[in-house]
Amino acid sequence: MSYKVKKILSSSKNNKKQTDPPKALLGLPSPPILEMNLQEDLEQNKAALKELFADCSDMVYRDVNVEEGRPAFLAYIEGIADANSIKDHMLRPIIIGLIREETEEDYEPIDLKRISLPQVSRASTWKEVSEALLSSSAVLLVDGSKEALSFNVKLGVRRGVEEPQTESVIRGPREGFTETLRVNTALLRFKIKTPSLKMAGMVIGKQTKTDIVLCYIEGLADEKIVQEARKRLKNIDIDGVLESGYIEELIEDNPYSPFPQMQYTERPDTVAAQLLEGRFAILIDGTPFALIAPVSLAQLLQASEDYYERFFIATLIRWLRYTFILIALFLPGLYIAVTTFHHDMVPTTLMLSIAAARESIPFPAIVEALMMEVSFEALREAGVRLPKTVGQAVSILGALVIGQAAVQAGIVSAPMVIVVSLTGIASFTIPKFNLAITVRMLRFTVMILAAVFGMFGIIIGVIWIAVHMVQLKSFGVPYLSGLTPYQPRSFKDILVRVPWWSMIDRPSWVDNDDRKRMKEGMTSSTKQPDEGW
Amino acid sequence: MSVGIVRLLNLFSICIMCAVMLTGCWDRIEVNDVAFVLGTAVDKEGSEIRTTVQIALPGQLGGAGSQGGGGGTSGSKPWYLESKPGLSIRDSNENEQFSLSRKENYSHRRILLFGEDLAKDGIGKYLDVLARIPQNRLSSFVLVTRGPASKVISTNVATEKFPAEMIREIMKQSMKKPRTIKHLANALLTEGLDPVLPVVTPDKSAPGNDGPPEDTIRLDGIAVFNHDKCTGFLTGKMAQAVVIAMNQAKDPEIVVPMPGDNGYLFVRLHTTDVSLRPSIKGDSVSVLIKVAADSTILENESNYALTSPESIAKLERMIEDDINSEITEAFRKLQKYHSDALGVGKTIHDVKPKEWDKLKNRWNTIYPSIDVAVQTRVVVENTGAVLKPFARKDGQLKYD
Repeated sequence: MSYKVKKILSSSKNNKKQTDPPKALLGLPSPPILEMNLQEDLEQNKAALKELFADCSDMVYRDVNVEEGRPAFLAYIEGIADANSIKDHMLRPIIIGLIREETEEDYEPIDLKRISLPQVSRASTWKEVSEALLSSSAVLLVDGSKEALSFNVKLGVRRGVEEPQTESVIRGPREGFTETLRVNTALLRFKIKTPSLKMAGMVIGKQTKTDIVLCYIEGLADEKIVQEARKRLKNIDIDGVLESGYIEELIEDNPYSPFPQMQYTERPDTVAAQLLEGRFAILIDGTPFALIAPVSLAQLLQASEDYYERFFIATLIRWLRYTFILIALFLPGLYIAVTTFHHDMVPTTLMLSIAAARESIPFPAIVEALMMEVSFEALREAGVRLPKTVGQAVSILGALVIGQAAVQAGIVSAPMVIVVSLTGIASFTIPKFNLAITVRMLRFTVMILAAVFGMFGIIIGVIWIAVHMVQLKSFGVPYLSGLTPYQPRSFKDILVRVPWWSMIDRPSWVDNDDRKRMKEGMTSSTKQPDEGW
Repeated sequence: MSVGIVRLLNLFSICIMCAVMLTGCWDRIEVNDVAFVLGTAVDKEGSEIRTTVQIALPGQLGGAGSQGGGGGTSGSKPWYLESKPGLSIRDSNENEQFSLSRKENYSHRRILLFGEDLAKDGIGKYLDVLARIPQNRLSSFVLVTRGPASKVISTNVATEKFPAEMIREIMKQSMKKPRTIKHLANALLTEGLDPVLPVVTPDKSAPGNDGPPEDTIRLDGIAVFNHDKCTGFLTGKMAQAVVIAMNQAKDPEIVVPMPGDNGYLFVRLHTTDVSLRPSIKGDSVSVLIKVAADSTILENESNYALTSPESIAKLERMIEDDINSEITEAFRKLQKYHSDALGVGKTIHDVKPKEWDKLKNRWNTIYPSIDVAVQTRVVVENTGAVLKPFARKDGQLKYD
């Protein structure tokens, strides 16, 4: 901040009430200009603005004359503001002089009612001006006016709506959220056409000023939970929010739990379904991932397609997932426990073939298992970060080196390869990636417990996990809700997925008046023959 | 979570690490340090006993991972016998351990063989170790061998990888519930019931002209016990009749000679049910053995056409008579061996406890002289795919 500008600005009388010292925010002193009001003198304003945005090469400044040669000054940030809109709706009408107000008593150089842009507002402080500029507005400063005019000329879409990369379905909508918040809210509005769908906006991040929207359906969502979410969001004081993960970690109930307490999704239909079940969602500008809470473990094991396919297969697939999450969590641990402690737990012939395969293996089972699991994790990590074309090479290398060479060289036994690959497959069946991460982490704990204490260790691990999950809550809702507290009514969407026509009640954990999701007896088998035919 | 909790966790994990790493209670045993005992044969040797254990050699099993490491002579057996005398089963097992590089593990033992001599001396005292050490499974099958048990367990059978496996599979066919150590202990503890154990014996297969005969193991009837002492062996039809009367017969097949010497008819009793009806008048005890069976005709060599209900009924009577006489004869044998294998005493104990209280001290002397009657009801449910004898001209058939 140069001395000269300070001097210019301090000559204003209006600055006297703005004398409170600039607040230090996270060690960064905010520029004092932001605390000040605009002046009447255009030259002063111009200098102040240029000082504020010094060294910002993407700023565009333009001197224009409005009515009767009155000097004015237009500024916007190139790239985030739409130059075409500025040209058509601002520069041209201003220069041609279409927007002069003709009344005698209150002379206004520009009549906002005649500007053909939907969002126009006035700004009287530099703070407002900079915020307007940074959120894609063009700002016009007119000589003799203490107010700047800001015109929202936000460029529409950054990336088109594409198929979500992380959650693909065979049957179901193909659209996914994008990085643009308003596109995302629109995608939700397309699906839920009711004014009860509330989208409470807020801005988080002192530097990033990220727009965040808290979505819920009034009357379906639990008012207390929405209030709690609002409170937690309000309490966030951070310099920047670049992804939903920032928010998730800042507002989750138990930050030390390995279990995810919020669901994230790229799919508008998933968000809509959860809103209809009384949950709330948080949309964050700049990321295609929306957060959903409160969640339960059962919910994290559901995929959106469960509700799109017919209920038989949906139920079977659900049980497949339940089986495989247990395999993903416990199989390597069980294998270690059985081969190092409990040789009596396996049928004889199986034990003998395991023994035959392990005959010449130089390592104990735990070392073997850790080697394989760690290299599997490394392979996966390598595959995720690499470009797709190189990723294939990695997988071939992994299959050859680990799958075959290691077994043939007698370093790793074939049953261990089966166990590790089955575990790997099993962890891929978990539909939510954040839960899969949890299972991956806990698997290693279980393996070490199994190697040290055998089956007792596994049982200790099970008890540990169970106790933790029982006390875990997501926005006040028990993590195992449905199973414990025991609510047989919610089994219809946990143990099985009942057909839509019998999914009459909403989930029982949410406290609201609107209990019924649909009219009873909607299946055609209960209709009278003369009714619809 | 505060610093306090983190410190607590650190302390906790240090304690755990100390307990695990420093105390040396690390009872991990890798699979390649274990000798899996698949079967044990117990024989009498002078005043001591000798156990022979059959140990699996996983290296010889040809697992996918062991191609490189095997190193043994190719084509050798995947099992190994270790035999040592000792004062008891445990003692001789200990003696065996001295010459084994791997730790003996009994949890996969499937069979326990008692040699003939040992069984005749009584097997009761050898059972303790089998229950005391949990590694020994009560679900192992227990058998008696003709001759020394070690000879049976060393038979190099061709059909299974291990002789123990062969014996186990044979055992599964022997009874509805093949006798396990649990059954044996149960029979020894139950008043008025004596154990019955299947008998196996080494045998030669295919004594034909083509090549040398191969060794195999044969199921050879049953051994009947008076309490824990083996008193006799029953084979063939006698053994089958006892097993039917015990209600333990698994699909027994009955051969009925058809009248007129023109062939035999084979039926399988696919369901059997037996009940004992004891009656006591003073000191004279009699028992009625009621057998109900449903049967399937498996083979009809004769020319009787079983087309009418009358002919089926006639056949049923013939089968019934056959079973009646066989069971009666077998029961006489059991009485001769002082073996209450059917549990007549137990039935009296169950249905007439007061009478049993008077009888039980003299049961051993009363039992050989009790009267027996057998009442069988057989229903031929299934004649197979054909009614008339197959591939016979109509004129040759008898239709009555």
